[in-house]
This record gives sequence, C-alpha cells and structure tokens, in this order.
Amino acid sequence: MRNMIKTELGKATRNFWFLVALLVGCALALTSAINNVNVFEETLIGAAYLGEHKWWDMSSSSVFKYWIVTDFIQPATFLFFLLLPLLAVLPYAWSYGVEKKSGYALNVLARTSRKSYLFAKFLAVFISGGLVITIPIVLNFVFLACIMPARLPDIYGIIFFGINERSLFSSFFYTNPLVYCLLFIGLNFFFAGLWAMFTSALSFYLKNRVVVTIAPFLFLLFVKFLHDNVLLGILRTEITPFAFLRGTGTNYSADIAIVSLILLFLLGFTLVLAWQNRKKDIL
Amino acid sequence: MRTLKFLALDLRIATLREWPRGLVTFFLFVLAALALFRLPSLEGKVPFALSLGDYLVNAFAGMKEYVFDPRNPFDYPALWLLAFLLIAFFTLRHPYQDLMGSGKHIMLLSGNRFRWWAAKCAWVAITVLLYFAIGVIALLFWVSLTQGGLGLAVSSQMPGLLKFDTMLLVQPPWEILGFLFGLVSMTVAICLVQMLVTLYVKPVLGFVCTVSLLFLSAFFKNIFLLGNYLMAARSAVFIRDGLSWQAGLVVSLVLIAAVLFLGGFMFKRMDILDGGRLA
Repeated sequence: MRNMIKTELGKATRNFWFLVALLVGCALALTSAINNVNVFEETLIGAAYLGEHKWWDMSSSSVFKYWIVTDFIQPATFLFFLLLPLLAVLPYAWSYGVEKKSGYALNVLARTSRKSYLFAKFLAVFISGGLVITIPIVLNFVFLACIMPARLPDIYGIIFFGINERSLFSSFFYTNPLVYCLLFIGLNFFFAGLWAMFTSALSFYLKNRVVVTIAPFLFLLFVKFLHDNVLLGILRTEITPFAFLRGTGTNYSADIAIVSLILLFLLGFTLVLAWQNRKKDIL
Repeated sequence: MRTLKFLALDLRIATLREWPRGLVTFFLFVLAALALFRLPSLEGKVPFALSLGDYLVNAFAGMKEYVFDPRNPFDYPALWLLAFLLIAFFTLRHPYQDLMGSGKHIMLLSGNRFRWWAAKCAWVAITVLLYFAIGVIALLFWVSLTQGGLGLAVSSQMPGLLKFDTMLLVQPPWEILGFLFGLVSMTVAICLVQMLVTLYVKPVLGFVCTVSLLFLSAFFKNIFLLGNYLMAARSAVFIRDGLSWQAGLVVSLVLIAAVLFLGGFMFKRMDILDGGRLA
C-alpha cells in the first residue's frame, strides 16, 4: 500500500498537467497580487492626506484586505475562482479513466489489490487537486505579506473589507485573521481535493478525458445559473464554489452548514461510486 | 467533393450520434425562458406578454458595462456564459480526436490536408448554426406554450428588467435581427479560433482560453474582447456607445477567413504524427 501511494503521488505531482494547472493558478494569483499592490500604494497616498485629518482607518491597508480570498476588486481574482474547478481536476483527476483505457490499470491490478490501487489513486487525486489551488493562494498571501503590513482588521473598517457578521468565518477575521486565512486555505484545499476526487469517480462511467474534465465544470455553471436566475430569491446563500470559497465579493454570504453538506456530498458520492465499482470487471 | 464527404462523415460521427446534446440545448433554453417568464412577478413588476424577441434578448443579454462599486461586486452573467461555453464545449472535442484517430489516415489517403481542415471548419459552423436553431425551436416551443408573440419585437420593459444601462438606452423599436446575425457569426469565429488553439495546446487548455476570453469580455468593455459582441446589453442596438453589430460581423468574418486560410496553411505544416508541433 505504501509503495502504491508513493507511486501515485509521484505520478500526480510530477506530470505536465500538474505543472500547467499550477502555472495558470500562480499566474492569476500573482497578477491579482501585483495589481493589488498598485491599489495599496494609491491608497497610501490617500491615507497620507486623510491621516492629517485623523479620519483614516489604517487597518484596511492590510494584507488581509488585499489577499486573493478577501479581494473583491481584481478581475484576476474572479477568474481564478471561476477557473478553480477546472484547475483542480487538470493535474490527475483524469488518470483512472486513461489508465483503464490504456490497459495500464490491468497491469497494476495484476500486482496489487483493487482496494489499495483505488485508495492510492483517489488520495493522489485529492492531494494534487488541493495543492494546485492552495499553492497559488498561499503564494499570493506571501507575496503581499512581503510588501504590506499585516494589520489586525478593525470592525470599523467593515465598509472596506466587505466582511460582515453573516460572512463565513467572519468572527475570526476581526479577531484572529491568521486563523481566518488558515480556515479558508483549508476550505479551498478540501473543496478542490474532493472536487477532483468526485470528477475522477465519474470516469468509472465516462470514458472521455475531455468530458470528465469539463462537463462537471459546466454543471457547476448550470447550478449558478439556476441559483441566479431560476431560484431567484428562494435560496439566499451561496451554493457554488465560485462564491463560497471566497471571503467576500459575492451576492450572498455562504452558510457553513450548506458548504459542509456540499463537501459531504462530494465525498459520499465518490465513496459510493468507488464501492459500486470495487469488483467491476475492468477488462 | 472530398471536402463534402469529410463533412458528411463529421456530421454523422459528431452530430447525429451526439444527439443528446440537442436535448441539453433545448432544456437550457427552455429553462432560460422559464426564468424570464417568472422575472416580472419576482421583481414586483406588472407581468407583460413576452415575445420570441424578448426571450432571445434574455438568453443573450450578458451584462451592462461593469464599473467598480464596493457595494455591487462583479457578478458574471451565468446564463450568458453557460450558453456560449456549452457550444464551445460541443465543438471542442471532435476535430482534435479525429486528428488523433482516423482523421490522420483519411488525410493521408486523400492526399490533401486542407480539405480535411475545411471540412472541420464547416462542421464547426454547422454545429453552431444547429445549436442556435435548437435554441430558437426551444424558445418557440415555450412561446407557443405561454401564448406569447412570435415576432422579434422587443418589449419596452425588457431593458429595465434585464438591468441594461437605461441611462444610455436607444429609443425603441430595437431591431435585433442584425444583432442576432452578428452573434451567430461571432460564435462561429470564436469556436473556430478555439479549434485552431486546441490543435496546438490540447482541448482542455483551449477551453480554458475560451472561458478566460468570455470572462474578461464580461469584466471589460473592449472591442478586442470578442465576447462583448455577444451581449445585447452592450450592443449599439440597445445603448448609445454600444458595440455595433456590423463591426462585430466584419471582425468575425475576418477571423473566420483567417482561421480557414491562415489556419489551413499552419495546419499543412503541422507535425500531425507528433502531438501537433509546427514543422
């Protein structure tokens, strides 16, 4: 089992698609950061003037305001979260389908049990999916933290932060922002990992790699369309990862119960499909 | 003649066999119509008779130019994005997979790469036309169900209902036929560019490029971001300073010709045996 996990993790994190997804994610995260540094510097000029009048709340000139998760200004931020479900599945979620089709899986299963193969496969998919999303988010934070102070956000600056009492983990944002950051990094990691696993589980039934990668993303967009246009006014909480993985900049706040349910659904769905296919003939 | 044979094969393999896509399209447009049908009452406005033109404008409304406002964060138009990403997805796979499979042998046997390329371009154009045709049929079905008007006239309440920039509104009546014509042509152009990109960077990355293009088009009003020509909310038909559909049509025709001929030239020099690098 240990060798199997090692092999699968190596394949998942040392392939071309992992690198491509990581590069796209990092490029967007750095673009967002660089543009926000410009906004920050412009804000400092304003602050220098307003500071004389003692009106300026300096806590809003903080890394916690400009971080990609709490930013609601940069187009690169919005694009990052729109592409997130696609980037998460790019590295390795397609691998089970491809290995089954090419016959590679048969060779592996002749040497090890189906259980250890699938466990190692899904673990590698989970970790690679989570990493390609969280590395850019952490990189964005580190880049900004090299330039901006990490001032504790003041509740009086709520109009600058856009994080109110209904926002996810908001109590931590104004009391212990580092915990807030860790919670959102964890949430993004778990969602991206579980989403990649869920997509990978679809390859038990879908044979085409492109369909496995893109169709779930389109389904998410369809859910957003239903939420925005059809269920208008009925569900007053965010139900798509395009929104609930972000601290602010969305129409509604996210509800931790709904988010947990979605994560549980993804995990449950993957486990059920894996269980159903544990003895299925792959010849 | 051979090009037509290639095209017939493409239509059989990638259009007729993939008929469930038509159902998905039909379902999406019916849902879009349902959303508009409920909108006046949900917004507390007096319901009015909706015509085919109203439903078409709703499906391709997009959004007005986004101006940053902390109280109003950017929110991309999901229906608009989905409608165009769906057709981008439908035209994504077949050309690349055909090239990686039987298309390679067919090309070798026919002795002419350009014919294969031209057939693929024609297939993309026909698939886009079919997609919109199914969309219109779905809306017609809904209109007949709800006893709405069959014309392309757009009701005066529509721009307000769809949150167009009413300060810049052009006086009605709004003639949308030209806009629709430009929209179809631009969609063909975008799907063809995606096909060309796909042959070089694989389908998934080609799709990522299309998503990025459409997203940036929603965020920025810019004549170079082609998605702007696909939005009724930014069209000169409805607003002053909007993008003219005639300009969009010209740009799309130039792009279609460029992909057909320039792309054909590039494709002739492509190493099709080695994943798609230029020779």
